[in-house]
Amino acid sequence: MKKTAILALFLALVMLLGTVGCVAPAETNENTNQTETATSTEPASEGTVTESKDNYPAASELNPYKVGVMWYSYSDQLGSSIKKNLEYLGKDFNVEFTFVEAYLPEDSVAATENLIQNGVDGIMSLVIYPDMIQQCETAGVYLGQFCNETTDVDMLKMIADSKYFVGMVNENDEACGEAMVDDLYARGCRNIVWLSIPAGAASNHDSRVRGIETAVAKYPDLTVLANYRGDKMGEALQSFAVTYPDMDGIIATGGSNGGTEEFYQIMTSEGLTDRGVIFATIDIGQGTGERLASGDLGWIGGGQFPTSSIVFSLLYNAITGNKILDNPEKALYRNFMTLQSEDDYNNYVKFVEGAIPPYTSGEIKALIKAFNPDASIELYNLYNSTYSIEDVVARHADTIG
Amino acid sequence: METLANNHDEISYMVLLKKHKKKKMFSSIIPFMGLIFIICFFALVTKGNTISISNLSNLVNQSFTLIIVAVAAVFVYSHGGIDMSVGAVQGFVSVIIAMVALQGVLPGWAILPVGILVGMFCGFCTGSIHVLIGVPAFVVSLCVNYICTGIVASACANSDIYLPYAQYASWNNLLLKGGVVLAIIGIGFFVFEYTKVGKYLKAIGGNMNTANQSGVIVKKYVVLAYTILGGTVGLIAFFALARTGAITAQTGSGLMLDVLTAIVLGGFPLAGGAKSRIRSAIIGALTVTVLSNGLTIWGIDPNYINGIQGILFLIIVSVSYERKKNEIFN
Repeated sequence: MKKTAILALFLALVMLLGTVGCVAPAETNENTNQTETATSTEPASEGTVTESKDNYPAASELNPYKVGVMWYSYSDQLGSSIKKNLEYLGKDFNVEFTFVEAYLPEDSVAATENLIQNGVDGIMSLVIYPDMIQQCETAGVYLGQFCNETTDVDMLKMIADSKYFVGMVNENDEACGEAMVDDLYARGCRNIVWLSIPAGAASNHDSRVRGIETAVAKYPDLTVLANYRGDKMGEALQSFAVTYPDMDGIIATGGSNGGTEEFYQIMTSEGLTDRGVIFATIDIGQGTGERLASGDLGWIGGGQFPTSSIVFSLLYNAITGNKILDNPEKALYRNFMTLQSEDDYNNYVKFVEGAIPPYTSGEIKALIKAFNPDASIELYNLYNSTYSIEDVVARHADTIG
Repeated sequence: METLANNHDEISYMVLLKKHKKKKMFSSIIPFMGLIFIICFFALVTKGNTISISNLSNLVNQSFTLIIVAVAAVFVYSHGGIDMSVGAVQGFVSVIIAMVALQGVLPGWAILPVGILVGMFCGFCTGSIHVLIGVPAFVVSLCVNYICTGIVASACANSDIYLPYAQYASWNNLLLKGGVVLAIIGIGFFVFEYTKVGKYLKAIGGNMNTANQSGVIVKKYVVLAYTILGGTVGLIAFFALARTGAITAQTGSGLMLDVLTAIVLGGFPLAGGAKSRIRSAIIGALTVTVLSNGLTIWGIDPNYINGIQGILFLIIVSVSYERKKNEIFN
């Protein structure tokens, strides 16, 4: 019995060491999926970004850098897309990314300490807290925020005073909330409900709700039958389906981690699709193509993960001695990618979720002043304002085919 | 009269006693060996980065909250109790502290006792409702958890709450925090191991009826245990706020699970009783912190971190966990 116990302990240790050994950080990784060559990018006369064929330095010619990435979870769709996107960029920029899951204040501060200890040159994070800025100042590490923005006045002052803060890049969540209401109204919906996660849980959802409320106020003949803010959006929707027979439009401010699929299921099971109820949401999930084709889904926004590429380029510029933003306390806003037809969805799957991301490494290198002297805030604004499914298709149709 | 049977019984007894002592020693050193193992392992794979002076100071900062709360949690777990509300109470106390601080009336050293008192109040409520009404501690603390979470969520509904960072940054001092941790460990150790508070709580955990019939005022010491835990949560809430400078709707949300993990990882008996030791909480808290710190510095993919932590947890607990409550020797 004693020998069995010792053997079991030994086997468990071997299993542990084997697991750890298998997932130890890889030194190099060959990428066999990329067919594009380094390119430069310049604005076309009609305002979309196009490519011309110039050569930017390859990864082997670039100094190695380390960047830490802090995000709430890499196991959901958005988190895993961000990770995959950055790993793709890392290969062509000779940058090693260290990914950490951290969102709460204490966890984020501890993660910042650990990343600095890891020797990173820059950190990009979903959330920023005062001590993080202080630590980065002390350690000489650049810091940027993505898919979110800081709005507290004292925090913004700290950001403005810091020479190591590179900027905030966020999707325009308020505009997105307004767009959902506008779309449902345009489709004839007059009795809508909206659902969101608990207030204060995520600032981008709060911004979308503000957008919804702003847009609703524009339409006197539009009625909000009910709204819900909590963790059980699916159950709330089921209740609304029963309680409000004249409901004709539904807005959900997000559906990551299977939430969108759950809404689709409830639309069918509660007979909402038969009633002609139209749905608008964010976070593109499985079954979106069919729902767009059938008309149940009128508007869906997503494709936020390339925001990480933009902030990465801000960090890379700063690390290589060319900080782009003079006033990083003002966030740069990007469009959501919006899909309103099955063709849009098919293009999304092909051009956004495929092997080549919406911004190739060459297109991101075009934002780096060390490689492209014309890189400027205006080019950043162009990238952000033109981002759409049509834009990605136009840029990559030749490459992806 | 000495007989062969008597001799045989005595020999069996001595063999059993020897076996039990070996097992007891083995079980008690496994968590410590686990801690040493992961320290050495990470030092090796990070080429000494994890044991550098700068990272050791990081570890003091990162283990501060967990060590203090785990030490105080021993008082609750030793009598067989549980407190599901520690994280939510941290958030609630943080909100109260921030409200007081933002008024600008009291200096920092006066705000700290406010936090401790609010925390003690929350713990007192939990303990009192549990003993006076007879609702299980799990249920009461869960209700307190929901109440405090709701208050924090309402306070942060419009935006996160930020403290004037520069004003309280001096409290985020390594020497001060190191001193506080050592003081809490020292006081906790003395009270738990050498005063009747600890002895009575262990007795209650061993057998409540027996403790009651032996003259222990069970209700008084149970309430005291929860009050102690609440007070220390108030203490760490102040220092955590000084460190981060911000409160969100989820502040403190992971603390309960971290404390439970630390307690069990340190080899603490979940049912409480005579084998409860303060050192288990300290070793467990350090293990959790070193593990998290080391995996990040080493650069492990976050998708695997939970799995690795789970396996390690399983190994250490399966070897050190006491399966039988009614063993011959205690």
